[in-house]
Amino acid sequence: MRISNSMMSSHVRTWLLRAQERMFMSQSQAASGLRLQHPSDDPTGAAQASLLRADSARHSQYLEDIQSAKFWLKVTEAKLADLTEQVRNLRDLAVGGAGQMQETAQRTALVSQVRAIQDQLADLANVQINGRFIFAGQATKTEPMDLSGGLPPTYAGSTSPSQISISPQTALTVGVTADRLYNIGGSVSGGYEDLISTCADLGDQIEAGDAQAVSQLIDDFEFHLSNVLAIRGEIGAKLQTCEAAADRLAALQETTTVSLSELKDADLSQVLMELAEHQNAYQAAAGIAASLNSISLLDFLR
Amino acid sequence: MSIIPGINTVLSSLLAHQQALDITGQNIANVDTPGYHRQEAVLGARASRLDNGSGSILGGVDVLDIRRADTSYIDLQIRFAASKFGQFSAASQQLAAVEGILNPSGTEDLGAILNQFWNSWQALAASPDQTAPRLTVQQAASELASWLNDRHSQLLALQSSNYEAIETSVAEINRLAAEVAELNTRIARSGPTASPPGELVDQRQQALERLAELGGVVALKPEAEGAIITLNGHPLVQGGHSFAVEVEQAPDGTVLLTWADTGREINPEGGELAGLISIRDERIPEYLQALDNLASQMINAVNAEHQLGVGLNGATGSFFVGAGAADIRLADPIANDPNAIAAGSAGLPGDGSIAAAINALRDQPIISGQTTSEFAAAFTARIGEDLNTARQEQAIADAIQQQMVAQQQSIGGVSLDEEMTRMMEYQRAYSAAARVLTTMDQMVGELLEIIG
Repeated sequence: MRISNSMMSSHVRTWLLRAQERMFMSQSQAASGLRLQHPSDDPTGAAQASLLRADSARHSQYLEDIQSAKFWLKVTEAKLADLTEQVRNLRDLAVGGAGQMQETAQRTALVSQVRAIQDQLADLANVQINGRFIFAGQATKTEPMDLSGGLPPTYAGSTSPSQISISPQTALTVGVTADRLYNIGGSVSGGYEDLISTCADLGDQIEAGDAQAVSQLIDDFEFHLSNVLAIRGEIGAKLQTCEAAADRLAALQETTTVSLSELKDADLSQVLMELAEHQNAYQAAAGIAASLNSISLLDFLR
Repeated sequence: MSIIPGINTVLSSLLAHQQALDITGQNIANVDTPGYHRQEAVLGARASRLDNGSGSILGGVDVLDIRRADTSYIDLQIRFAASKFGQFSAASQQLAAVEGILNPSGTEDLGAILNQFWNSWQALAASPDQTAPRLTVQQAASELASWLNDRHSQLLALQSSNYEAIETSVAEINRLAAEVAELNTRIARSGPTASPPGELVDQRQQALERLAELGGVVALKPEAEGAIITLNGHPLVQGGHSFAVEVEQAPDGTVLLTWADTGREINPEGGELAGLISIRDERIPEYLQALDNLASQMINAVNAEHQLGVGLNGATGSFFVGAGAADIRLADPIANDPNAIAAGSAGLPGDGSIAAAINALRDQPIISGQTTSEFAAAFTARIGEDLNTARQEQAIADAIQQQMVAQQQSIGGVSLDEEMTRMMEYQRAYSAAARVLTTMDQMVGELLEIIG
């Protein structure tokens, strides 16, 4: 083959440019740590990465939502613990009160104790956390316990409790409505009066000194106690559901992150090896370019 | 016996080798000139005969022709390769611009924007009574809308800059066609004897190569008499006459190339023109339509749910307004007041059912049978795949072209070493002829001395 001068230089130029291009690719992969920088680097991989990112985004959103569900459940649980304490106190007062009603002074003390608890119960129903009436169902801006019309109280909140989705299939009920908690309007079966009215009755009966009526109320308080405890049990079970869902999601998120990283991240040791290889190739090409035409017939002509 | 004819023979050698040396000089001078084909002096001996009158031998040497290295077969293949290369390099440049518009980096792409949008609804479903998630929905949705608006207008801008590139290409084609016609005339004028001036042929060959790269122009045998150089099957240059190409936008917005004289339409089959036109009139409209499709289906699906709900401020109605990617935006009440976002159906602050229903749309095939994330993934893959294909075609055409150019240079390129050896050859021949002349001169001198 006949070799012309322009042929030699254009060949060397081509290889120099190719070596440079390959070196640039390895350099930008090594510098960014990314294998997938543009969809055209690997269209199929880019599509998979896009889907994985969508999964990952929703997993992290569900994890956040589970955190917020847990927050509301824990807050509710704390308030329900208070409520259980108060109902237990009332029951104990009813049990003990039946035997201590001879002295007026004793009765007065008992009555004021009962009345104080009654106020606390009403306050507890209308407790507000982060600007939300937690026992008002979805009517989070409305005081649920309405005592403006005297006893029995009416429920002003919404009967549908707040819900938070913790997975595409599971919408978790995170709120408890005060009507169920206090049995307002007999919303829980059993035909018992609401808690506030029962409490008021206890006060009235102690004041009147009717020991028999007071002991009859013990059964009512037992009912309310078991109602509140049942609801607490539900909340506890939901907290466990949340924990389990969070663990599952975290594991899933890790798998997704690993797959995504395998897809988009550069294998640094491999990239650096390649970079070194391409640098060598470039050096060789540059060396050849520099020594191009270093010898010609001209050198031997005098 | 006469010695004069002998002197003539030697003189012809001096002249011929001087001319051959000139050609070597021309070759060396053009060692780096693109498109230059080496030339060679074709020396021919004069018919020698015995002069019966004088008894001396007549003869000598002439430069019969200055021949340009012939690469016409390879030139043809280079033009085919250049036509492919022009087509796919223009296409891949345009598609790289599309990729740059739609996926500037991994974080700002469509998938990420959609993820943000859906997540904001999911967060709102969890805390419908709070202001912060409402602001997030407002912001994520307007980001989605402006992403679509921006990409739509950037793609349109790319389309119009593409049209400018087409206009430039057409202007260059017309200029080159006129140049080829002019060169044809000059080459024809140089007469039928021997070879036409190599420099003119070089120029024409280069113009034809560029024409192939620009418009896929076919020139089968440009060196033949009255050869026809065609674009899309119609003559572009015929002898000394060239036909002008015109470009305009058809009523439907596509590019329309026509012949200036007949008005007939041209559909270039290769070259930059074919690449530019296919991207402008086929690919970009497809991308635009995909974005429009996404926008309109999102508007429909989100609005259908949103209209069932009531905002915290009692507002009802659409969430998005607009018809496509160009004009999708938040409905005014939503843009003005985050409390107008209908998270629930009954107007209760803690009701996130509508937000949950809108979030659930992310799993439904609302975009022509695909979920939004499937759509985004497929769209991303499509953009990448299109660019990749064009780049591969470009690399193949480039490799073929390089190969052909190497062959062309192998035959037609100047080799300095070769020219040096020729130079020595001619120099030696010149010196020898001069020596013969000196010898003859001495012989004449000696003769004169005898006579004197």
